[in-house]
Amino acid sequence: MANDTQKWIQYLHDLLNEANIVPSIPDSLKEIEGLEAVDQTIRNLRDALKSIGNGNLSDQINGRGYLIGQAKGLQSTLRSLIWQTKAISSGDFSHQVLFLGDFSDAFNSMVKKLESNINEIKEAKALFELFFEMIPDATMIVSVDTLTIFNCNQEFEAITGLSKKDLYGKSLRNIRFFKDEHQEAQFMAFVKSGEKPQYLSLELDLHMDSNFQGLFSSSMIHIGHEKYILSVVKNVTEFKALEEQIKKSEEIHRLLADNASDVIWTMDLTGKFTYISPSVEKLRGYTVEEVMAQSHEELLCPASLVHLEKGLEEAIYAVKHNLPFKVFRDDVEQPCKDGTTVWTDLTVSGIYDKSNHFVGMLGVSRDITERRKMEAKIRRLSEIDRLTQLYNRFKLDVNIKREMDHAIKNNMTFALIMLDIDNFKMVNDTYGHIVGDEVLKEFAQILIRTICKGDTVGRWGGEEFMVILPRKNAVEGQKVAEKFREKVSNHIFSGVGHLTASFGVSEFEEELTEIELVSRADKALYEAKKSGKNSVCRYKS
Amino acid sequence: MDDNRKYQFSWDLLGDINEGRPNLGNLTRVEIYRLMQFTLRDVIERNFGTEVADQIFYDSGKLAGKAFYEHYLNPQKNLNDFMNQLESLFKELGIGILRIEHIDMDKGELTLTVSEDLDCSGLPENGFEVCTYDEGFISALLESFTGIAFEVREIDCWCTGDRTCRFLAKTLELSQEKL
Repeated sequence: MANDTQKWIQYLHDLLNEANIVPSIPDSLKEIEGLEAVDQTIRNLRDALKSIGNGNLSDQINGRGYLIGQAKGLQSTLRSLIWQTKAISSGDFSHQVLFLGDFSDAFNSMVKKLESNINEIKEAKALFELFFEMIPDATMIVSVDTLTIFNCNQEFEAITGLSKKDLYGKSLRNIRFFKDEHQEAQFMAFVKSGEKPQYLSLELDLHMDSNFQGLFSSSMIHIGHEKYILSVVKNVTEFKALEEQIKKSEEIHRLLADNASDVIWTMDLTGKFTYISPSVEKLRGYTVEEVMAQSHEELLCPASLVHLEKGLEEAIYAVKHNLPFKVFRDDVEQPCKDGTTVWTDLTVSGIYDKSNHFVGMLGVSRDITERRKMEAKIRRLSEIDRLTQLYNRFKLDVNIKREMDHAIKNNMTFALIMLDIDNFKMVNDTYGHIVGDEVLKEFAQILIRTICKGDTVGRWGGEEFMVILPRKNAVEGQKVAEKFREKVSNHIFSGVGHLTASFGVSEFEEELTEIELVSRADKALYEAKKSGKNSVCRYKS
Repeated sequence: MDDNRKYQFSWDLLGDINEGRPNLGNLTRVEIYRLMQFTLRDVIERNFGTEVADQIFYDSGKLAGKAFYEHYLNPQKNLNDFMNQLESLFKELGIGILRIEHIDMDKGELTLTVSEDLDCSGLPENGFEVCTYDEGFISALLESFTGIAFEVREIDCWCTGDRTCRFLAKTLELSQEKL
């Protein structure tokens, strides 16, 4: 009996503690009452714990009783946990594990934390997606190796004319994104050249616009272990067209400026040139670079320099006081490389941008040397007597007036001689007008040779002449007239012989008018004629 | 016969408890609940036999489950939300600790457990399941939510030596095998 007891106790011990047990209760123990039921319960419990221990919760736990019930409870709890975990992993964070002590607390706080983290991630993702979608320019994320589209925004859909569904997973090559292989190679070389954000301008082959010009701003990014390119493609088609137009316009204007005979230049308010057309070399002999380096004194002759400096002063004042720039125009004289000078008609106006901000001065210098010469010639013709080449009456009037002003201003006087060839009518009548004209010419030459520097001599009309003697009084004037008279009387006129002339001298006084002064000389001349000609008379009041 | 019924159930029959029990409130001891249930079960069995008694308790549970759903549960679209709400109510009202072990709605199968069950936890082991009222109750809840008839059977019970009552629910419309 004791042996039997020892045997079944050993058997139960093995059932409870050994990994390997006999498949069924030995026949020798089957007869012990109740042992077979205990054997079955322990075997069921071993199977249940083994299944649960291995994580196999779907196995049916057999048997009944307290221990089996506890095992079933454990299995039920674990099954419920699996279900809850699955629900949580699908995003349902409303689940709680209750009545499992510390485990409940740990699990529930984990779920709360997870929910909070997931919500934060969701918010961040939603925010990112919002930002990504709201980027006003087309944006794409493509794999480096195959250019497969991983993500893109609405604008990218718009420019490609394809939906995200059609785009995702497709390579840029498949949707014919680039205009040609060269463009694609350019993009690849560009993105592989570095991980820093870079900019590239490409022409794209897009459905909506075959001439789409895109400015790529790209950066290498990592998603997981994969490398991707994040590119923002700015539509610069219109900008490029505009740029092209401006370029063409600039070229045309540059062409015009470069080839114009006028010198076109721009200058800032400090008086420094910012542009000079090449025609300056033709005008002054200096190259553009040489002129750019010239000082104002080298640019203009002294008398003209005043104009430039005054113009600059006014321009600065106008800009500082927001006043309209007053266009100024003047003739200026500029030195040339060969030592001569050139006269230019200078027109300077202000340059304003679209916002009406002053940006500089625009000048046009036109060569007027020929015009100046012509003007001088015309002026001379208007002042000179064609026959004698002396000043005419018009110029004599001007000079008398000028001399009167000068005398009044400087509290000085001057003398005026009126002279007339004696018996000139007889010369004309005897020898003809041609000879008469020759006499007048020779007479003029005698006067020119006799006057001093600063004196004026001119033909008053017919055979009458006038001499203005600055800073001389009537007495001195009389002496000069005597000299004239002597030279004339000693001269032998071609084909005529000796001739004489009569002289009347007057002196300027402050109260006299021009007419009165001339009238006085004329009266003195009349006196000289009356006294027998070939004589000099001084006006006496 | 229906027109002349004396005890036709409605939620109003439960009365105004706050009004009626201003001092004792809405709580009683579990043994008092069980006292009524098990004496009632005894009398019915003696008068109509075990099978009829079980059927009466299943049907009563079903009637109670339907009324409970209508009175306590908010309409839900999602099964998980429904189950969460149910778990909370079971706990809050002291019915038991409801846990979901498994749901496969494609097959129309659910496995639920109720620990610390109001009806049976702590009862003496007698070798058979006694939670027929719970079966009907759970069946009505699932049917009310899904609109599909469910058959519920208790497969583990405190009275069979288990510590958790486990219920297997199947809908014959989807499930291939009958319980």
